[in-house]
Amino acid sequence: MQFAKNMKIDEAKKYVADKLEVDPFQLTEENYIRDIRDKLGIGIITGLPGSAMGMSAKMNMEDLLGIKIKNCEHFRNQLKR
Amino acid sequence: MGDGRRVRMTKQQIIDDIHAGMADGADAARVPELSEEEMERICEIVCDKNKIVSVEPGKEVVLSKDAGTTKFNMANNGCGVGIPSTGLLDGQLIYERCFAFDSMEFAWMDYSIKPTKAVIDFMLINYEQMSQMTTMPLVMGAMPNMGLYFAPDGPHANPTDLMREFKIEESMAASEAAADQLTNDIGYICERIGEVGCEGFDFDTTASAGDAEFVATLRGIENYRKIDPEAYIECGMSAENVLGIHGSMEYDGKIVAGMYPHEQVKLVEKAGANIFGPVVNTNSSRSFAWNVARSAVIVKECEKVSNIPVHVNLGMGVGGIPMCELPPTDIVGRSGKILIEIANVDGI
Repeated sequence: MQFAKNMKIDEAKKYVADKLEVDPFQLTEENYIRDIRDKLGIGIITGLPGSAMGMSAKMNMEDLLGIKIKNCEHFRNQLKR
Repeated sequence: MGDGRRVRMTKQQIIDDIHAGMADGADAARVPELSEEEMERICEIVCDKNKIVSVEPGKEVVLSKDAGTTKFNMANNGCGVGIPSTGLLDGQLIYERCFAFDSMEFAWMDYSIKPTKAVIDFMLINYEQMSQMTTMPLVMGAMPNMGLYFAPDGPHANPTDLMREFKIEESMAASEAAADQLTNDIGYICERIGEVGCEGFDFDTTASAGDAEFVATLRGIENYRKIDPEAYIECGMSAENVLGIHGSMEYDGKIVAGMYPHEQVKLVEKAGANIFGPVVNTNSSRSFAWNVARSAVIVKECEKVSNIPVHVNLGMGVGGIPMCELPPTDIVGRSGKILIEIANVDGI
């Protein structure tokens, strides 16, 4: 959100926390946020087979945060369906 | 100390150095001084008896990167750890999933605009594939590094050599010509990276060749913003003030030579960047307390006047960190905590 909307740190944390429906304080609560991230399909750092990562996680992030990510747009434009 | 040595100081010596460093910074940058309470807080953090010092939960900030994953396979003269690896590829994933980095740069090993231009197709095809595997924001990055455009490495006469011969006008003309070429090269790269959906660009170590390089980069950012309104653009500096190698270069009607972070950020903001990276140089003859207080007072004003997020440069030789190859862990944590708590930075 800092890159996409020029948000300063507190505003960016609140924006993301609101979208994830958590308290900003919980964004850095490792074990708690890991489960939320897995549930929402926005990527976790451990290698869990079947869990969203990379492009699929970024596309889920776009929907959740209400933004467009350029390389997701590029990927969609390459699809022929 | 600023050279990495561990020294013993009394609490009063630390307090005196905090006051002196803060006053030196406020005077150099012409910014308001810190309050007594803020300096007392710096003292508390400096004197913390724990080796690992960090912020309270909830006060964490995000990290962006200088030179991306090139540190994996470079030798120590490039600040690298010398692991034979493909940092551009697996390195991105290691930073994302082992180091939990918040964003990363896709950077060529010769981390400058000029050499990156020569390998742009290599960069594009690899970026395109890595963008499908990574989750964090992934931008391209390079130093503008205008020094490479001067003799003996580039086509333009060296301005400092010309100055030694008292050829002042020729020196200024050489800087202007190199700046035009740098702006054009930034334009070429930024246009090409759009072909693969690149998210943006990190202009790192900006103005290392002085005021003409700063103006060339600002023009490059302005042009990039015009062709890509959604690009993620970060601009980090090379030093605390802009060296006047040319002396009269202007951007937005202002002479940039001599500008400090709170003035630099307004031009970076005007050019269209999303994130600014201020630098405060470390004095290697002074104590950590002196250096970090000096950094805090300069960066605090920059953060205060900025409308975009500020990611302070915090590494060897800048931001209060000693100028040595292996920055002491206890110092790195304290610098970060002080710049987050006192200067209110948005990232590092």
